Amino acid sequence: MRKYLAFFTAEWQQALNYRPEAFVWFILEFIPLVVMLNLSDYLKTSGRLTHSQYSQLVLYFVINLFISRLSSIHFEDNLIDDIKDGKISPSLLKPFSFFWHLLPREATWRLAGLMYLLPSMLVIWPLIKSLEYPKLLPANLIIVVLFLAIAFLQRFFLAWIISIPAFWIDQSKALVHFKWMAEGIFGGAWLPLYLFPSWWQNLARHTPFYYWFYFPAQVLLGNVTEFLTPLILSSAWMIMLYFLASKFWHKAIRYYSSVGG
Amino acid sequence: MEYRSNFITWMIIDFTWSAMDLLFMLVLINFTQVLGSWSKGQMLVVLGFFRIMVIPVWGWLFQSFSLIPKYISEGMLDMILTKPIDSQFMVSSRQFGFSIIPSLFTGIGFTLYGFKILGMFPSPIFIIQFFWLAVVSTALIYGMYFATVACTLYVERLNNIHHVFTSLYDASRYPGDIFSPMLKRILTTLIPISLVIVIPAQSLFSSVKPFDFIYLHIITAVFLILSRRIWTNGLRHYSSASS
Repeated sequence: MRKYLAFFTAEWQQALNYRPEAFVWFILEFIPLVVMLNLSDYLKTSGRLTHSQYSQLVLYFVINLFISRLSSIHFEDNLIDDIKDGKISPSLLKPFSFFWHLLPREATWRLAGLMYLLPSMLVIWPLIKSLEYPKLLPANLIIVVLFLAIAFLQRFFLAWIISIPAFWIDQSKALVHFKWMAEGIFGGAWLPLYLFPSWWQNLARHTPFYYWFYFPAQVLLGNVTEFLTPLILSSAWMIMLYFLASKFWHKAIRYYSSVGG
Repeated sequence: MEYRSNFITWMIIDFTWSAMDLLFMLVLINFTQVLGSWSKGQMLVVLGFFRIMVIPVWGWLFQSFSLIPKYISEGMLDMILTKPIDSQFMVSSRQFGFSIIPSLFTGIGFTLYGFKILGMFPSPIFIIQFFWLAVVSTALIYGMYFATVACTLYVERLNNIHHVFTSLYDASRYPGDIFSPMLKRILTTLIPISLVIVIPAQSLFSSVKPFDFIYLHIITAVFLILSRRIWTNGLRHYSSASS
């Protein structure tokens, strides 16, 4: 455990050292939020949304930004490059699990992201202040934290599943794009899923992406009362993704050979 | 052509992104009925041009500019600076991605579908004007994008700066009417991303105001000069990171 805490601390120092880079990552997620908030405001002023619908839509986009900052995983691109260039060899010889050591490192960047996220809320504070808020029960908040933790692990395992093909093929980076698309159309990362046809929403409900953005946001907005089935489904996805990632990783390591140091 | 499977894979990805953009905009327009002052047909024309302009943005500029922060932070820029050729030209033309070609076809497809819904087709004069504005827009995109990445010369490490423009580019497919007055002013002056897609695309289905036509040319010249200045001044700040 101490080893992984050391990774967490080292990465925290990196995050503080490269503050401008961390700020740019935040800006990249803030730009779409600004566009969507303007679009929502335009819909309200043109009379196509009531204040209540407008509040729900704006809160949805703001919550999504928080969810994304707290539970996303971004190591695929770098890991794929490192696998292809053979740069993982020295780390494989060291006395720690290469598979798990990326988890505390990713968690550090999620926490570092809050440094910019919380002050940024001041920019949109006048807007946030004017919204109608649903009643938030403490139990709902606990459920959301639980779902975010599960989503973080699911995304971690999926990132491995996406990266591992780099041991065999050159095109594994393409899989990252499919993940982004799935987040958008099944997860509600771009638009709330209630804008999609109902058969689409039913389909999305059976994918893990649904529980990454849309479901936790709906819980916070007070639109969900049934938690057990989603929890079972989400946990089942997490376990399945873990087994797949773990199995692929052991196969890949047995296959991997490198020359030089 | 040497890496055929790679080429085909990225063509599939590009085609799928076009489909995603279409799905996103259709869901949005079904919800809003009109987007700003655009109807569904007009929105599809704009989306079509947006996809076509993905070719210079992702196929040329992103490919070349994504290397600049690395060149600077790892000291590889020295190799370029010592060559007897303009360094801005060198860093701007390092790589091209041809797998983005499906965007040309999907872009044309969306545009034609938009005109079918509108029940009209632009006159040859409108088409010539559109082509000219598309060239000017490409120059403006180049100026804005290069000005952003050239800022890397002033900081120690900023390896993700090349993503900022592409993120802003996604906002260019929306009509200016949806933005607040202050943001609209910013997006047409300081960061004129609102002009690059909207003005050329709108020229296909409505006449361009003379002010907009002239303003696009002026702001393009300003950004080309500004980006050049940022680069040349930045090079004076630059000290090699390696030997």
